[in-house]
Amino acid sequence: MLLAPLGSLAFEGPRLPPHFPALRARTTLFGDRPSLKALSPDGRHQGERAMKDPIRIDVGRSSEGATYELHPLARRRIENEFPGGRTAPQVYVGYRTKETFEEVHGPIWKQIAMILTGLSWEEIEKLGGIIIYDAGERREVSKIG
Amino acid sequence: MSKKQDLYTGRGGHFAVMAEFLMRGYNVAIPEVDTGDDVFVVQDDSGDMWRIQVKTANAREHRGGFRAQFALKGSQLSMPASPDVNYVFAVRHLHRWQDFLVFDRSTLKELFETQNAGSTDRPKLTLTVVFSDDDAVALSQSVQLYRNNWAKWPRLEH
Repeated sequence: MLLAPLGSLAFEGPRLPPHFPALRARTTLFGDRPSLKALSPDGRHQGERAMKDPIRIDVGRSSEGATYELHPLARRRIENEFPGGRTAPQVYVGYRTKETFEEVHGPIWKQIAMILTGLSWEEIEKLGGIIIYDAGERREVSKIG
Repeated sequence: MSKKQDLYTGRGGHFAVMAEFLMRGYNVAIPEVDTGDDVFVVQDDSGDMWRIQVKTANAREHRGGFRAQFALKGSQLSMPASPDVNYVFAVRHLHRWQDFLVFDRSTLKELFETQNAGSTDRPKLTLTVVFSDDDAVALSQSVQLYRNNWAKWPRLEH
């Protein structure tokens, strides 16, 4: 079952295979969440170093699915390079069993990255591609681009 | 402060936060088995549920205001989840509940990471907050916006 993304987020990537249990993108919890960027105006002290690194996407896995989010520095970098763009706070994708995580989700990581960043894959590639990072196991799962 | 007193303080913080949710019209529950979540908050009519992690500290006097320190687990803070975790920091000062800081997990993660990249990959984190009348500062950033900010749970009338 494919659930339509919430809010004003538009997803124009390839269609997902019908067997994906669920996918949803969520808008911010407080509406337009106050950005900490305003509190640290230059936004460069950590981000500069990572300018040519791939976009890091953190994933947390549970028994029924995985939740993806941009690492805060990756989100800040995208907001700096594409002002006015719209990143999504999280994307949740279900699976039948935890063991099939990489097999089932691997083919759609590009689409997940596009939803989270609000960018085309070409734009993401120009930024250095993506790293999928398992925040629970603290390991890099995959690097694309 | 003794470990035993810490237990009393921590439990007091849980119940203070639960009382606030109840007064706002939300149901609350404590998980039978402690696996990380301290409180579940439920909106009865919609079935919406929130996971709450409560951290409690006794504040100390600090330059005309007060200062509180909280311990956090990096693993819980760094990992996205559905439903996600919310953090409520309860501050006890001068023998009463003085302030609550209310964050969603990703905001708190951003706070740590923007100050020190990779910090949430550490197992243990410390959040020190300095309060004055018109500001609250943590990790060199103002968190006043999150002070007693329960906007995510607007009051419900039954």
